Amino acid sequence: MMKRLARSAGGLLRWETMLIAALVVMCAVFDRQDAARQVAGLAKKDVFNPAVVIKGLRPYMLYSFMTLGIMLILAMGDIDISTGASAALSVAALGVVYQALTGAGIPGGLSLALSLAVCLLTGWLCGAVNGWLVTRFKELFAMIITLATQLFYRGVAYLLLGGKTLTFKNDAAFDLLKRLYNTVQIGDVSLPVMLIAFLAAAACYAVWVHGTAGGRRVFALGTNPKATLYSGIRADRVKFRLFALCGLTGAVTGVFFVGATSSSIRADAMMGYEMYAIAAAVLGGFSTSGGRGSVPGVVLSLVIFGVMKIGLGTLYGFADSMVNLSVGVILIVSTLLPNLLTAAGDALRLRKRRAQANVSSRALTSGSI
Amino acid sequence: MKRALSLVLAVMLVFGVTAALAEERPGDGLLIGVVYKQSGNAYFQAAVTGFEKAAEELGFTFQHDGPDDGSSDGQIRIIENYINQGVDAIAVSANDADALVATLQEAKAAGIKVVSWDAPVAAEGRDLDVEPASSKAIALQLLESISESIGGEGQLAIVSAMATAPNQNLWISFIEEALKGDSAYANIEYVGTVYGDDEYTKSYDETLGLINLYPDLKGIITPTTAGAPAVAKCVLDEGKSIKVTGLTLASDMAEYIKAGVCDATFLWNPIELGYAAAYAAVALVNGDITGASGESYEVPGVGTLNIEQSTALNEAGELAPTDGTISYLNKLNAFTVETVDAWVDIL
Repeated sequence: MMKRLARSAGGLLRWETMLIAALVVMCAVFDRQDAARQVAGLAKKDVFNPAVVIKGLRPYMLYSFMTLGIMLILAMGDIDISTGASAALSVAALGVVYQALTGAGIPGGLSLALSLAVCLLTGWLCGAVNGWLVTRFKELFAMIITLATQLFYRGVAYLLLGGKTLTFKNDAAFDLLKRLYNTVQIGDVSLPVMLIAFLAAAACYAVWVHGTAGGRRVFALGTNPKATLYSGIRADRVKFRLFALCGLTGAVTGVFFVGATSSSIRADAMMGYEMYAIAAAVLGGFSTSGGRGSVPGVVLSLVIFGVMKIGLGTLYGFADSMVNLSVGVILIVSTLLPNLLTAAGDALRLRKRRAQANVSSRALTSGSI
Repeated sequence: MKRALSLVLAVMLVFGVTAALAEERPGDGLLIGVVYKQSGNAYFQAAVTGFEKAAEELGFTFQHDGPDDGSSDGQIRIIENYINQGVDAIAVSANDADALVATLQEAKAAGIKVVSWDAPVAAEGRDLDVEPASSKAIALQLLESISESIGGEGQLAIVSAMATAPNQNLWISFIEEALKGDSAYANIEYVGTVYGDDEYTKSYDETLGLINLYPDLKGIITPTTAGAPAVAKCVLDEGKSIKVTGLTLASDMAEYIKAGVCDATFLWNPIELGYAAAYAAVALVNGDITGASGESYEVPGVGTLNIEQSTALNEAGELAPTDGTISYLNKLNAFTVETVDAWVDIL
């Protein structure tokens, strides 16, 4: 298994090396800007150092779990744009069930456990519905199916909450969720709980996706669905499970989101999160045409997005909306760059071959004389 | 020549020193982070103008930002960014009163003062809330204006939003109280309130009903931005000499103000609101106030703002005290024939 891991890691090393290089260059640029601002008296303090950045990654880690789910959908050559909405629906279910259970006199701790289970189940079910629709109606694009379910799930969330914000103030049990947004102090560094949880989840995913036969099936499905089917893999079943799993990761994101927003539950929560997740997966090396990608790459790309947003926001005074624009630019460059490199490589090879052909044909003609 | 030069230099030095002395301002060296509900919104851009004006007078620097999707997690990102930068104060108009509490508590733990303005943050997440006007001030302003328009006598009606709308009901109760208690309004006959449900057609029809029922009706108060244009349109269509006032947007009402249906309509001034929030933030950072009930601070051109216990509507629809404190500008902006055009693009 280790060999397999090493081999698949080797193939993708180039892209990840590029990501690491990009991260290092970005940090160096930001660090210089930080120092320059301090010298010029523009900054009140050192705002770009490991401690600040690690803690500051927190709000950008919210969609990280969802990214794990979505990247595997991409690896199969499909897409799921309903995850933000299904996460909102899961969270709405969490709130409504918790309210009903505590209202019925069930102790807070038990209510929270039960409603968390309902939340995760709701997420899984939303994903399962997507999976069923996608495998049952193959003539429809997954994009259209999940667009429909996106609107549907968001609508149900509004119905459940009646357009209101649900909050549980000074509720000891529900306040436990807020701890998910806390940090753990290690020396000078406040390590976000969310980051630890995500890295653990990502490690599990990495072993599964890159180290087991089950994981390789996912990529096989994306590379050549027909061949995969003929080789005896139940493609539809794999697909169904991955969509359901994607819904589940959305629900996990939702639970952390509730923790982050001081347990305030709204139907318009996590709007557009699936797009951030898709962006992170694509920058991480997952291709929308399937068959390609690596988990370490996704972890790196999430960190890159986080660091970039922190840097542009605090050091260059970019507004939140402008930061999104720069994410778009990076995404365009990162998707075009590999294609351009391949095209350039092909052109170079072609020229070389032509040159060789010319030389040999000249040799032939001179020989005949 | 040399002496003249040194004299000039000495004079310049003296002036320079006095200028520097005069320029020592309470906000010098302070950095304030301003967060609003959504970027690209004219109302909040106007509020930022207020912060700019205060920054020129007080000497602080500030940054401002709002999420482009109007989400609370977007506001959390912006606030965490400000905390990282080590701002001295955060002034926030919250999309969700509760969602920002934990993040703002972290800010407070880091020694940052938190002022909410326009849309309050829950009491535990702020030091002070700055709001345009108390319910009573709004009610009395509307009544005073309509009384002036109709010469202090005649029949008066109210066209409200939903019958269950808590803010409107509170304002109406203050209007009714003043009509009964204040001798200045002794000659005004209050005929009652109808409800337009914040729908254009319903508001129009209810107004038409009022006009038919009370042919001598002199004035209408409509304390809802959604209903006001319909009420004014109905009065204009019927060609009656009824005066209308209310809480309205300038852009909705410019037509009717110019047509003479409204002498003046009202809404708070977002520029002044931002301006006052900035003064409150600087006063908090400098320790001039702590945000406790009973304190007060000066805002030039607006007056002395008193800090009091804030209130919120409870489930019974009554005002009940909360844990937090608030200060009201209690100054509404009047849109009249002269002023309305300047506001059309903002409100």
